[in-house]
Amino acid sequence: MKNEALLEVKNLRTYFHTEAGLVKSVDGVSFRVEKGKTLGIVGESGCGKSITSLSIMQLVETPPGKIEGGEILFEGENLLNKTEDEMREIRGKKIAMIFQEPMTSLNPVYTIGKQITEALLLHEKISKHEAKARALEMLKLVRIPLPEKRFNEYPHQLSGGMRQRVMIAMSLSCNPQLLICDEPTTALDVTIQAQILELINELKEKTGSSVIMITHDLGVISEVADDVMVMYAGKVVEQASTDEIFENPLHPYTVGLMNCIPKLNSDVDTLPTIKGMVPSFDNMPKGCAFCPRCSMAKKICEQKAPELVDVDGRKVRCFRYTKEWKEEA
Amino acid sequence: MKKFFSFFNKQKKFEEDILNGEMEYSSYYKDSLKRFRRNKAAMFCLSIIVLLGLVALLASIVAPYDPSYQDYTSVLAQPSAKHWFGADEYGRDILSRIIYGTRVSLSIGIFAQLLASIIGITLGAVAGYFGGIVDSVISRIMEIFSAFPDLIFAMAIMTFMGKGVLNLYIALGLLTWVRTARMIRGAVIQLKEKEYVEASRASGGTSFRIIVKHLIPNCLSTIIVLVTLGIPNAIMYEASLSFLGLGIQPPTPSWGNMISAAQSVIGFLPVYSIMPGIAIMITVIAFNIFGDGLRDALDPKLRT
Amino acid sequence: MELEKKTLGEPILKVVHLKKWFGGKSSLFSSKKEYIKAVDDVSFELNAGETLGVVGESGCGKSTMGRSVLRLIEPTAGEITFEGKDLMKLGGKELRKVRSKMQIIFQDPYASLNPRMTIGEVIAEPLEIQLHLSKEEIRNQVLKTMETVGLNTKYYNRYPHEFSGGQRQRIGIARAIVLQPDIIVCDEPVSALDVSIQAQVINLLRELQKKMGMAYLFISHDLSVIKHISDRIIVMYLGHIVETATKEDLYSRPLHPYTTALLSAIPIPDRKAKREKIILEGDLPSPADPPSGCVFHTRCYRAQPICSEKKPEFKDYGNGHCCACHFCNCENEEEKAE
Repeated sequence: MKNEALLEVKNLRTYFHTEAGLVKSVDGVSFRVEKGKTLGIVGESGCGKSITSLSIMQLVETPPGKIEGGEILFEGENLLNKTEDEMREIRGKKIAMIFQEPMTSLNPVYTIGKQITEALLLHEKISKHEAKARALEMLKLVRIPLPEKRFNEYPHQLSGGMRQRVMIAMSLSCNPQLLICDEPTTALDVTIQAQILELINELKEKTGSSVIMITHDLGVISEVADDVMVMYAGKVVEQASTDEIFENPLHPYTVGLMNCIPKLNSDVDTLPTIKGMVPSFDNMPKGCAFCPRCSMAKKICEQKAPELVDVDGRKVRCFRYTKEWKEEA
Repeated sequence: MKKFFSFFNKQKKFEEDILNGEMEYSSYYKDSLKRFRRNKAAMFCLSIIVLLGLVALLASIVAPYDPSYQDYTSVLAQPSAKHWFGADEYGRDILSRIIYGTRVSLSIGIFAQLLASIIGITLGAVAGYFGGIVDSVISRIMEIFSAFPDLIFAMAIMTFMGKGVLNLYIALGLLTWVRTARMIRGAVIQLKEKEYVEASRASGGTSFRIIVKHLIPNCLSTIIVLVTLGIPNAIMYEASLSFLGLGIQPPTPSWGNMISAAQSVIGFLPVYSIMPGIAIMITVIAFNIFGDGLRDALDPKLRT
Repeated sequence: MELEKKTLGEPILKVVHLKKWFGGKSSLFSSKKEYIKAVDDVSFELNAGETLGVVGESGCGKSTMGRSVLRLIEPTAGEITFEGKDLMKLGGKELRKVRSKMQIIFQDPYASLNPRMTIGEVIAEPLEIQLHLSKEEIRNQVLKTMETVGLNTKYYNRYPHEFSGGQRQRIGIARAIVLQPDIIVCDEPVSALDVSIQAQVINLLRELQKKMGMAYLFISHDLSVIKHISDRIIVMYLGHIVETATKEDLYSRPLHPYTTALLSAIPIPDRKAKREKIILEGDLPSPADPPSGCVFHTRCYRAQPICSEKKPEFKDYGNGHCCACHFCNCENEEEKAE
């Protein structure tokens, strides 16, 4: 029995038409985010994880980018059919986003108090006075010390961790149902990262909203996510619950990713690596995109692109779990 | 002699390596050229500049008359088949004088800018790299130079040094180096914080090496823009100075002194002043657009 | 190419009371001069052939320290003894010569390579500066080094922007090892790289160390990477060293509360390893106005009144495991009691 889905993305395709050719940044990605749950999207730079989130918000720069097809069902409605005005209403109010570098998303010439109240006044019919009270409440909620004082300060007067807290306060001020976090802690120190992750988890429980956590750090995923989606070269390669994926990763790429991180609790001389690097878009292999780096690749992997297959209720894009694999062996 | 030949051998080995696919030559310049070619306006302006250069070099062949040949029968003649742009107050062919004027204008633009670049790049890079007292002293000098109104400053130098083409180069060079120096200083201050500069220092690189090998090459696009915009600037100053009688002295034709001479007969023979004006305009615009295109083409950050 | 084998374990670099204070301008309203004490009284030794990890959060002064050791940043005070010579006393020419023995690898693989130079030129530069070789010899040396770091030699004439981050980092490493230095300061060399590439570069660094025997001063904020690569580790906080120990000691028995908190804060990609997390309150204090007494007391969960009054001594607790804390013994006693 599955819970109700808040967001359901079906076969999303976002392409970039660049001078050098067509880049399929997001190529047939499907996933669902259940109410009150956290979905983690993992992948290395250029795998399309950020473009996926920007596509949901419809913030992909057009041109060169374009959402070519698919459906983004949010509370049962397809966001791709919404007008720009309707989208603006949804952005910030129903779906909020936190970026990696809070400094670029905060306006340096306004006080943080003004920026939070502005967002509130834009989306909700409340008086200025109420907005200020709400903003202060939000600052308290994200545990910013001396919120009254911080309210009148400018972004540059805050530390990186504080700024990220302000961003979270701002994005949560309108009680969004979905919070998209794009590498929210990558620019922060470990001790601050721990604070922010704890905060996100705590707020999620308090407000009951769903979270999409985009990151390259499997450690972060294991701390916050309920479900995980691993992306590689614009495609989903594995989808499973977090427990399952850490217990028993199926896709060779997921396995490789987990192995190549130095572990605190074990000692090895040489780290296992994934050979080579992510293929550039103009040099995509004909078969499986991971094939040139895969240690288990067979002939079939070079010839045909694998489909996403079901394995014990999980999804994997690899021939190892198909009939063809056994036949070739 | 032996050294000379070994050079050729090395060159040959290099080429073999490339042919055998052992070495790939960077497509940097090829790409830049490709990008530049795509820029139609810049390509068009380049051809104009090349044409101007050819005209200047081959003036004696292209021009229908000797620029100082005085034909008393056609004093202030209107444009005709004989004199396409008419003739001036001494009966000299205006078209021929404009063609010879190209020589003067282009050479002034190039030499004045060359001088300005040498002074400007050196002082700018030194000031930016060393900072502190060196920077303060150079900056004060730049301020003194730029404190005077441009034209008055140039006039002062010309009066002081005397008239003459060489002095004009120097005067215009001294007038425009400050802008180059300022831009280079700013660029160097930014660039010297880069880690590759630190890497060179960590390997024991001297300041001289860092400036010449790392900083100035990375200012290349700034320098190109400055030079290509500086050339038309110098041409304009030459025209202004010649117009005021301090630049190129008659009978040597320059676009500036032609306009100056045409002033008195502007109502009777408008072509006389319009044509040199158009020549200045075309040259200035061509260099400007060409410079922009070149900068875009050379900037590796714009590469896809 | 003959390798000068240095005996392992002998200190080749000795840093004593190193200080780097920035600023020093008196502020508008007070005559007291204000300094930012980026590195404040740091002493350590680096042994030949070992990897000394330096870990700490941003702003703890670890990068400034790494650069001060090479005198890329002029230290305010202290002694840096390298091969018996005090680097602080060397003049320009002598210093430039010594630099052939000490190299640095940078964090940002994009800013650390001159975009106007080909790969060949980048790697050849240290050779051109330090050795008087013919063009041919330099080229051969460069090609050999490119092979060593796993770069295809056909890229000799390519420009850096044609490469990915991992390959650029290999170019940076090639430049650092081409002179066969004794010490390489690695300033967050893998922080800007993707996970799968990170492992490749770490392996390369270890492999090169085995082959060439140089010592690394490895600076990183990532405790997992530090643990993997280091023999001994320095933990820095606000310009001070708070703890030094061998890798094994530090991770199994952290003495300083800051180290303990740091270790517990790393998210581990393992669902079963549920740990008790120590989440530190607040942010790093400003290095322009460091806390009195123990610099860590404002965020410490073990702080007592004495911590804000008296600076803790940096004491050796056996096996070279040193720590600066008034109460670091407490934990041991607790452990014993358990």
